[in-house]
Amino acid sequence: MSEDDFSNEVKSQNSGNSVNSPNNSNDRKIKKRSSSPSSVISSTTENSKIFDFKIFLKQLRDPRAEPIVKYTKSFIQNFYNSRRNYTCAEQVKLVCDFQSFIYEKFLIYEPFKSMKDLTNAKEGLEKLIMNKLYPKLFSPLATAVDAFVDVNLDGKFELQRLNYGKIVTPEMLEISNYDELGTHYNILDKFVKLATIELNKINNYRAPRDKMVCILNCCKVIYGILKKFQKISTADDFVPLLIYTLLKSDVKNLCSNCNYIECYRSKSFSTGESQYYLSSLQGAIKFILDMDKGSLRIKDEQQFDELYTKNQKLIEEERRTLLPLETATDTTIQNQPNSVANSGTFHLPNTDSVKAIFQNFLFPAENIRQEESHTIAPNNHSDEYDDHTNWQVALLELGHKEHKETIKNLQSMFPEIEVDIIEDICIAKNYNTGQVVDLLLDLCN
Amino acid sequence: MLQYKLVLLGDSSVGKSSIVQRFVKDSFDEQRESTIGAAFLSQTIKIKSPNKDNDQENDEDIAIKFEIWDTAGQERYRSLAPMYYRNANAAVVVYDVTAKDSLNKAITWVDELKSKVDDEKKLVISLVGNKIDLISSTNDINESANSPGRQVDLLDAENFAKEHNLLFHEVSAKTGKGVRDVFYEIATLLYKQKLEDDALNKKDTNENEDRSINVALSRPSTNDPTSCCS
Repeated sequence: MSEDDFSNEVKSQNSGNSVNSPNNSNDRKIKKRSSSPSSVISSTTENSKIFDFKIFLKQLRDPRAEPIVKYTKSFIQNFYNSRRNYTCAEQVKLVCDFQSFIYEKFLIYEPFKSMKDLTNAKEGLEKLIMNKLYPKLFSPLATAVDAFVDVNLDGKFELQRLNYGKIVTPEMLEISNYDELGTHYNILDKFVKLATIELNKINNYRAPRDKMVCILNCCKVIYGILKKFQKISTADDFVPLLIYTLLKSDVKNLCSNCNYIECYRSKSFSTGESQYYLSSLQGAIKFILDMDKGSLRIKDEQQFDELYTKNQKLIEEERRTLLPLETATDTTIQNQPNSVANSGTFHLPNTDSVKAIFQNFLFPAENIRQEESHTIAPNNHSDEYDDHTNWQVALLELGHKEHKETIKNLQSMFPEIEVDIIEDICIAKNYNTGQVVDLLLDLCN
Repeated sequence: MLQYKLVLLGDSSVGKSSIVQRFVKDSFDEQRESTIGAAFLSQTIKIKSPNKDNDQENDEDIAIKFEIWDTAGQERYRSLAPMYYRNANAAVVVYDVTAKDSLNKAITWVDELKSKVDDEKKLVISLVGNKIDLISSTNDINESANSPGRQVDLLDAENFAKEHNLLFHEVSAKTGKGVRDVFYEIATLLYKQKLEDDALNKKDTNENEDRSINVALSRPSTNDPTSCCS
């Protein structure tokens, strides 16, 4: 059961209805993305019950649920067809109002009417709507008149990361026990890299809940670092490490992602714990956006200044050599929400990512919009099929590569544990990094 | 169950996290949840209903769930604090009784909370002096000068708390002394606030029944699926 089936079902049910979902051609892509990030968290933190999207879609196929399907399709269609230019706030209101409207309908129509607990249905509705409306609502793709605010922040953030990412050390952020960590920099950096890989997955998902799970998994790995080096972990230790992780990461559109989650993750499901980590991430982003020499603990100013100048020259050089080469097609590939885990870089952003950053900053979102409107275009079915198969192959390869990399990282983090054991645990835990790290830490102690 | 957000503020060396660790550890018999890590903890406690007039609730325990938000105490991360204390119901501002300057820092936190939090009357603030285990004679204020450990006079802190309408405790996260009281007192006060609010709201709705109907009607309508966003 998948969203494809949902669409087909909807089509067959409404055969008399000529209305087509405006982004039908996009369904296949969405189908892939609509799987949830593997996670411990989904079952324990986000909600006491496991969220199951498939069950919700199955319930929607119930003929008695037809009015709900119709309302939803119609809402999405109108959202796409509307000629008005909304602000982000207006979009949030439209989506929230529609959700409350459907919540009321849940009480009227079976099979939802007789359910004692509508949590899963509400979660499912959020995921369904957000999957469909993502190109309209996620700032880097969105059409909202003030979406550029987020996009500009993304650009500024990436510039700050270029300015400081390479030169900031754990000491400068007062990461405590750094003396001890200092002897294990290699291990620290492996953990941090793993955390960035988890965070990078945020751009693979459309639903706010799934994005949130990526953030929580990243935080979980950061706690793994703290657990490895210290006894108790507090915000004094966690926050600087989170900032350090962000500086070393190359995740795209982080500010937009945070804002998107804050706007569209329903307050009624998001627990205090996920709120806490979202706030921490927003705080860390703010710290990096405002970062200058004064925000860091610097022992040798002169040395720092030299490093900074050297880094600036490097950036300038890279920019100069790369700018004439750029083409619009490159950018679209770089910035597509499904161009996953560009995690090849850690210490230094590689040339590609530098290029992307500048492109992103100079030409915010325009190219992506073209790309998206192309994907939404309802005709062109053969293309769609090719896209789909290519996409699947790419995804498979990517997943394979990612798994290999994860095992490699885990291996260097836990040299005392045999590779086979690490691999077995990864498979057993379905490559849920947070859970694997927890288990491996337990094995070590 | 009532749920409240509690934020922890204070310098990085004052042991604010230890107080929470102690609180959570000692509340072993009650519910707690934390799945990611220790910077966010939630702990449910039960208090007796303070409302003696209400026969129904008189004998019942009231479950209060605290969601405890730890903050980074280093000065350089101070600008992140608003991210944490927005929408908080309670704040525990911690200082170290053996560090003279830490009360001053705590005072700046209190000032910031009072100036930045929208509904400052509702925000329950508790000033907490930690590490009394390091003082040889904690009970005798007059001897505080002779105690090698104590640097912050109990009366100074107490007076400040009184002036600013704060709750006040001296505790030891190490021995656990006083820690439980901090949280139970906050819980009791928050519950009292809630009862007062309920009473007020009830009065309000009785007086303004017409208005509440209007509010319901003026809800932006998406009822017509064909016109939802045009």
